[in-house]
Amino acid sequence: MLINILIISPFVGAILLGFLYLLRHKLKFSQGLFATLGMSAPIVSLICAGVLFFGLKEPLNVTLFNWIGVGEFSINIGFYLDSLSLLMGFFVTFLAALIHFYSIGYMNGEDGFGKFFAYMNLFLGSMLVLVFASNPLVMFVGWEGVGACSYLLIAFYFESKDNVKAGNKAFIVNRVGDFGFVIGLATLYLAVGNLGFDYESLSQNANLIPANLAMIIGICFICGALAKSAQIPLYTWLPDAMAGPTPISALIHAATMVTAGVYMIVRFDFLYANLGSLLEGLALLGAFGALFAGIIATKATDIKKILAYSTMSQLGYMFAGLAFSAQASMYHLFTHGFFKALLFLGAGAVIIALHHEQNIFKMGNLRSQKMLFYPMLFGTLAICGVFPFAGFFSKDALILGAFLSGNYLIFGILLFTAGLTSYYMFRLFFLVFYSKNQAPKVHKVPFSMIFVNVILSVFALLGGFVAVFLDLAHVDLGAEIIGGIVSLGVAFVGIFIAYKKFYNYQNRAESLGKFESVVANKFYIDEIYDFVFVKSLKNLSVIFKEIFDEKILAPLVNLVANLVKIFGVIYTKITQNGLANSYAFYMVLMIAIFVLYVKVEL
Amino acid sequence: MLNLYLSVAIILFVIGVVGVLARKNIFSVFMSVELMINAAALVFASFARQNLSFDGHAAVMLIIALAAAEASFGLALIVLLYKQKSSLNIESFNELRDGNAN
Repeated sequence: MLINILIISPFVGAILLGFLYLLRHKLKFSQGLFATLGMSAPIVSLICAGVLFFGLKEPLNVTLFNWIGVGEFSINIGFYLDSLSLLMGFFVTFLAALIHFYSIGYMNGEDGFGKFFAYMNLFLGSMLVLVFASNPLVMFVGWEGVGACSYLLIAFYFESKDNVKAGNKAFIVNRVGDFGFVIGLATLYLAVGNLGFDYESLSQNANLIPANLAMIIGICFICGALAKSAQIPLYTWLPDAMAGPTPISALIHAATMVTAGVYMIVRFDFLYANLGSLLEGLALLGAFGALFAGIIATKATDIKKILAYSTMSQLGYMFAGLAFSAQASMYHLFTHGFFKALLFLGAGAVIIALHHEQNIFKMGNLRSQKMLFYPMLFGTLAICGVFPFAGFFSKDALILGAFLSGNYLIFGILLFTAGLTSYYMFRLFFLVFYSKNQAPKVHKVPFSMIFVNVILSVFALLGGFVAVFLDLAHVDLGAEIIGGIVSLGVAFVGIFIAYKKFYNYQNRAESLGKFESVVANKFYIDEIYDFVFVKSLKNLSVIFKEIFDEKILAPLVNLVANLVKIFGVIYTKITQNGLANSYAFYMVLMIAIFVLYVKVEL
Repeated sequence: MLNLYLSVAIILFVIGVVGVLARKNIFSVFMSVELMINAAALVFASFARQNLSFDGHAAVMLIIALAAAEASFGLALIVLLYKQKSSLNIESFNELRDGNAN
């Protein structure tokens, strides 16, 4: 029962808010009404999730009703509550409630206030469906729901063409991955679906899938995960998605939606348990993605885009971790959710305080603003993995896990990326709070934003204790301490370099060398994609339109049409003369033919 | 005997059809239609005789009544058409042709 309320309340909230928003001009609703209504759904869901999380001990499979039943094909709407989905659901509702509250301050006075909360509630509902789904098809419904909401929210400021383009980009790139997901789902169903398509029966029957087929299904699902989690090669949408309002960036593109890819791979662990080589390939891709995004982030200038690349980089860590310890990946997912939400919301506070300035080289000397300074400091320390912040434990678990499982290449990349992370994060931090650049005059930041940032700061500090809820494999304490010291050392090297370069920086832009300008242009990947996929398809279409269609097909079709027309004209000129006896003649002729036919047949 | 009657009926009917198809004078066409009707009536009558049944005779009576009605109506129509065109040539009566179908 609780699970029904948990899932339904955000949808009800979204629908109500949507209708009220449509009627806002007629009935003069106040912003407070929208805020109250928008807040109620996540709070109800949070309470339900909390009760379920702390109350439920055994995995529970709740079936609500039969959704599709055609012959043997039968899909139920149902929810699966085990420790994984409950922890994830609790985490999502918790973050969502905080970010909803933050948004009240951030979106204050905007025309689309009600619409924003309707979308946010809808997003929360879709995310919960994704997390709690009892079978892959229902998960796919949630999966597409969050995709649609992210499209709506990225393009929230739809007056600007660039924002709409960014929304489209996110949507289309995600469709590429979804193709893989859908193909995987269909293949999985054809393989073992007739024995039951929910996770419980699938995990029992997973060993019946032939090895090659399992490999194909695994690759298809990974394809979907790569798009949703913004990994190479389908990552290009994430930096552009920063066009949306900052709470969106925090909720969707850092804490919940992009982690859905990792969650999905963990959810299908029964499938991947036998596909070690595939996961290792994915780990390599993830590690390389982490490094790649880190390199781009070192030269980015937009505060939110730096955070976007760091998200991509941290998600790469999670994918890398899936090969040796899914639990460690989930651990990093949760801690990352806390401090990335904090970083984004802190950045949002900075942006609001500075009149929507997003270029970090045009900020500076903000350390006197304590309410901006400390959240960002905590978040930055957490993502850099400085003891005792949350990121330290989870990142260390991943790096040490890579080392102990013998993936030295991945270990090396991850360790180096950890240093790189602290470099670019502290580059941002020092530029914003210490550099000698003159920032614009500082605004007052609304209370709700400060409040949420403070809470999240606490969680960034203490989030490591999520480990209590995960049964992480413990290795030798000595090895853990050595690993911790090594990664801490790497982090401090990165921080030190950033300190040297940017502590007293005073230039409105960074001077760029040849390689650096390539990095600053994101390795021209967007341009390459544009050239390879967009331009080439466009040119092909133009060729088809102008040569194939206009020169060959259209004349051919017109020729046929004209021939028919000419014959038709000739025929009617002869036959349709209006004379009764000639019509009678046709009639007699037809009857004669018919009689002959009958005669011959008999 | 029956075959003879039927042969006469077929001959009458074919004369009627050819008359309808080939004659130009609207009166001849009209009379040819009457011939076809009479051929049909003859077939009914001969089968009625053959089967010793009165059903065919009833049909013949109906046909005669129909032919009478048709004759009065058709003649009136011809008079009207002649007033319009001052001609009895059937080829001048194609006013109902679909002018668009060209």
